[in-house]
Amino acid sequence: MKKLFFSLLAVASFAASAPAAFAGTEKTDAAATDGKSDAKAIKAAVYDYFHGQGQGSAERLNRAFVAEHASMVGVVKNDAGEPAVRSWKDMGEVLANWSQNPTPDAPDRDGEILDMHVQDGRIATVMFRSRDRFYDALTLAKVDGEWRIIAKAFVLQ
Amino acid sequence: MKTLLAILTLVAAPAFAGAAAAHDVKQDKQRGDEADREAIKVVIQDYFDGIGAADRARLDRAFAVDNAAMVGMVKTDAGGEMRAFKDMDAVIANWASNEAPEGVGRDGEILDMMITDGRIAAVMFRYKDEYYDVLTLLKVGGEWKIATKTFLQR
Repeated sequence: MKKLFFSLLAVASFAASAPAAFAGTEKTDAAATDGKSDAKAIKAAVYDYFHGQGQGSAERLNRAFVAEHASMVGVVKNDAGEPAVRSWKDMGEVLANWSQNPTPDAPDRDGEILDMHVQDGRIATVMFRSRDRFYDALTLAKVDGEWRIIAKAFVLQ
Repeated sequence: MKTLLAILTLVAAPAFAGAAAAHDVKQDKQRGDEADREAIKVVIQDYFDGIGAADRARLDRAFAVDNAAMVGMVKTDAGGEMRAFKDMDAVIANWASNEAPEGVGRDGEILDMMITDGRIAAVMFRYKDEYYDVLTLLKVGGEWKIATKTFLQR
């Protein structure tokens, strides 16, 4: 399996890579202090994304996302008005677009974390309600001690 | 829908027999409609066993192949490295080309599942003792498909 995995990595020359520190002692979710600290940091990252988008803040958006590795996949309406899956593989471009288009209701936009699950203190999922327009499923990882978003899936409400 | 799920469950039962733990969602974490939860479990098993059996058809069934993306965090001598795989078709082709797959019945477990509005979901999955996967799923045309996969090497 490991051989296959690493051969996959070798074949995937198209994939970008960057050094980061993920290794470390595995933690249990029973560590309440760490859990609270992680939840707080994850919440901060999620709201950097949400308010960064609303305010058109490239700084907050790039703090929230690992732009060079993240992707976004969503269900939107196609030309025929039917729900269809669409993807944005260049998150840097997405963040640049958001940065240039702040929304009129920023920074008082209504967003809510509906659910959160943290595993091993290093990887997490968040279900987020973005105003009355979208539901987001965000995947975060702790990179160099910082929680960052590395995948976003969404549906229109 | 229930009839379809019952058929899927019966068809898939032999393949799941050796990996019953993969269906062991924590009771206190269950959210969403029962039919959606069951359908998502089938998708996750298609993904997990699809790799185990190098079965392209099951992997194609599990993923929104044309749009899905994968990000991985692997251990390296320097500590760790994040790698992005933005062409899921190429990834699946690689998985399916394994000439010595481990087979089905491997040890996997759904640790958490969250579903919102019956249309978007996130699953935390233990992939043997090697990885944690986060799989986000979207329902389109009545079918759940994996949209993003993120894995963390343990």
